[in-house]
Amino acid sequence: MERKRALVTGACGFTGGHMIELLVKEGWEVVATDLKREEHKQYYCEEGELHPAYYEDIIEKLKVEFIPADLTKKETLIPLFEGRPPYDAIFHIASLYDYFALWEVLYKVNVIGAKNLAELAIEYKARRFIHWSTEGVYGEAKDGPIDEDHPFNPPNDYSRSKAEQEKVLWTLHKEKGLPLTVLRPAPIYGPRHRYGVYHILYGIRRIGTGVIISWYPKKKTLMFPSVHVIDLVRAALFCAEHDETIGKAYNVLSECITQTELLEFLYDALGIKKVVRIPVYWPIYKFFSKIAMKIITALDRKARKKGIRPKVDVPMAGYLTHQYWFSNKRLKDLGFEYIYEDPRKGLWDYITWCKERGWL
Amino acid sequence: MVQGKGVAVKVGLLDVPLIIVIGGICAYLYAKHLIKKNKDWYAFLILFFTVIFWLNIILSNSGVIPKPWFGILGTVRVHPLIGTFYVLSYPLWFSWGAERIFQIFGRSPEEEGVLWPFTLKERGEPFKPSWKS
Repeated sequence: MERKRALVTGACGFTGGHMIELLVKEGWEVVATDLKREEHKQYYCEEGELHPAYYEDIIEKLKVEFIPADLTKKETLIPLFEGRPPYDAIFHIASLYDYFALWEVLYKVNVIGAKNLAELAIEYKARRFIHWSTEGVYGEAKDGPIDEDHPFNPPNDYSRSKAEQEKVLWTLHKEKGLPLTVLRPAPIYGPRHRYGVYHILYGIRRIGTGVIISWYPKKKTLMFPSVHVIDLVRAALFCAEHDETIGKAYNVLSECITQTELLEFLYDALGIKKVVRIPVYWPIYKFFSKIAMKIITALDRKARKKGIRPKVDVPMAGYLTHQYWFSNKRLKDLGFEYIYEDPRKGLWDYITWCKERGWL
Repeated sequence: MVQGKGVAVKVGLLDVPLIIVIGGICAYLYAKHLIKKNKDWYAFLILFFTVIFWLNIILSNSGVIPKPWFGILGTVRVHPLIGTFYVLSYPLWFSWGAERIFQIFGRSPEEEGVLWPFTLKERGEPFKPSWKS
């Protein structure tokens, strides 16, 4: 039987590496693409403990074909397609996921880049185009968990670029038949991850004292959405193998837990023994959160002037006061089963992985 | 508070604020330097300073020295019961001061306390691998 063929973009990123590992394990023939390491630095301000990393060793270890390309330069993408049989699936993971990046750069990489790739996917008759978006396109949940039909209201430049990116791809799907499936993952974590959820864990370890705030009135509860990278890449493969997913979008996330449940778990898992519990009336909490946001925004400005980046990007601090709550029902109704239904199980595995390597 | 010469004990007026400040300084030194040498340093410091403060009270009330801290930091005479509770509470005040500093600056060289998100530079030392599954 002929092996299925996949193209994976963003192959040297955190999720891309996991996607390749899964595809190889499942017997797929993989062509991997990403920027060259030196080009990667053009888009990311700096690499380090708290920034997206570049992992070319996964590709070397798995011995998959690697063709470097830049999504923003269409001509560099042609060698991925020319003279090759059509791909059974393109997993378009590559994206500039950086809250510190400027809008022009985000637009160029995320919107123009996706358009360039999708046009070639149509021209060279790829059978499936699995695209990575984000839950961030929806913005805040006002009444209960948000499903895939919720209108877009992106709260920051990165999410706005992903919303624009989706619009372009849906247009290509409707007008030119791009066999598109969109995944909208919640914040992703898992081995090798170090931008996003990692900030929460890293911050807790650096601060060393836990704070749990009980809000009043008691019905005020903020949720924490997340997904383990293993579940995310499994969901992508599941969609690639189910043609009924063409033309649809799917939220990909574990069951949401409350921020309080998350913190109780993290303090325990990270060995934070001193935990301060503060009961606060919600408007007062919001007032102090706004002050914190102002300080973080000022630090962001100061960092930009100095040519460095702050420890916490401003949109990340939005979790202090905004409700991000999403439904994973559509994908589950299709028969997909999560390994990490409870995020605490996945976070425990991830924290253990980090502790073994001195990351936490 | 007893001001006369009846049944009363002499205690240092500024003992509590002083021991809070000392607790804070010790906490900082312990978290950033001493913990690396020996984790028991904190227990030693709290014991050492508490004993000094207690000795000061014992010596002044037994007439060896005229007043706590030779009167430099102010003295009050209080009922013996109040005085006993006051003096016994010294280690608690030391811990209270230390805990505030731990929260602000962290409890170990890797930690930076609540200041962490509000500063631009990483000051904490790298984490060490701490788990084997």
